[in-house]
Amino acid sequence: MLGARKPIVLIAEDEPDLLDLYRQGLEMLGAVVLKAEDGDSAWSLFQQNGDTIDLVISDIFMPGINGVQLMNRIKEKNPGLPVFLVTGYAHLRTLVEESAYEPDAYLEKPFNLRDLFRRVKQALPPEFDLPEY
Amino acid sequence: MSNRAGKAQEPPSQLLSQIEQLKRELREMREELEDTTRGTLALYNEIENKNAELKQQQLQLEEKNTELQKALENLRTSEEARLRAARTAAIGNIVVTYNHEINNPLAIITASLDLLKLTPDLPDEERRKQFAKIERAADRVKDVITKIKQYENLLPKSYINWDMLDLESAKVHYKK
Repeated sequence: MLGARKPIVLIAEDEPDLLDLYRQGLEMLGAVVLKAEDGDSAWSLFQQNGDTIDLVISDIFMPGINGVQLMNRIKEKNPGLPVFLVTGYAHLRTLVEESAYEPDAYLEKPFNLRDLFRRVKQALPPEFDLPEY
Repeated sequence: MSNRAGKAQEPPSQLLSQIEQLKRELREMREELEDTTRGTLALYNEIENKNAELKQQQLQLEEKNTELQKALENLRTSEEARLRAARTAAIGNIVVTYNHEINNPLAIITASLDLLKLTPDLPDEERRKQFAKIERAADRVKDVITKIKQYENLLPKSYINWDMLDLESAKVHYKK
C-alpha cells in the first residue's frame, strides 16, 4: 500500500545550500530525501538503494559523472524510474540529445518550489497522496 | 655630236669617265638606300616584337593585379569573419558565465523565499538560516557581476561543451 510509505527521492546537487533547500521542500511534501553532492556519490547511493527509490532529481553540471551520465546509468538499470534533470543553462540540453535516454522532466534554474512540487506529484503514483501547496 | 662636215664625233673620254663615276655613285647610293631600308625594317620588326612583349607583360600585370585584389578581398573577409567569431565567442562566454554563476545563487534565493512563504510558522532559528542563505547567494551574485566587469582579466575555462569565464582565477581590482 503506497499511502503507507513515503516516497524516496534521490537528489544530486553540488550546491550545498540548494541541496538543503530541495531537501526541505521535498520533506514538506512528505518525501524521504537521499542527498548527494556529486554524481559519483549519487550513483553509489542509487546502487545501494535503487530498489526503493521512487524519483531521481539531478543537476547536470556536477563534479564526477555529470547528470546526463548519471541518468543514463540509472535508466539502464531501471528505465521506468523517473529522472529529472536540473540545468542552469539551456545549451546543456544538447548533451541529452546525444544521450541514450531522455529525462522525464527538465527543471531550469531558477525555479520555484511550487513548480518542483507540481512536477514531483505528476511523476509519482497518485497513491502517495502528497499534500497541496 | 657632229662636226661641220656632219660626221659624228666620239664623246670626250673625260665625259665618259664622269658618267661612269656618276653611275658608280648612283649604284652605291642605291645599295646604301637598300641597306638603310633593311635596317629600318629590322628596327621596325624589333619594335613590333618589343611592343608585343610589353602587351603580354601588361596582360600578366593586370592578371596579377586582379589576383592581388581578390586575395586582399579574401583577407578582409576572413579577418572580418575572425573578428565576428571572436566577438560571438566572447559574448557566448559571458552569457554562459552569467547563466552558470548567477543561476545557482538565484535558485537559492528563489527557493529560500518560497520556503519562507510556504511555511509561515517556521521557527525563528530556521528563518534566520534561510535569510543567511539568501544573503550568501546575493553576495555571490554581486561578486560575479564585479568580476565580469573586469573582463580583461578573465580567461576562459572549459564548461562541459562550452567555454565560460574563469572567475576563480580572476584578479579583480576593486575601485576604491
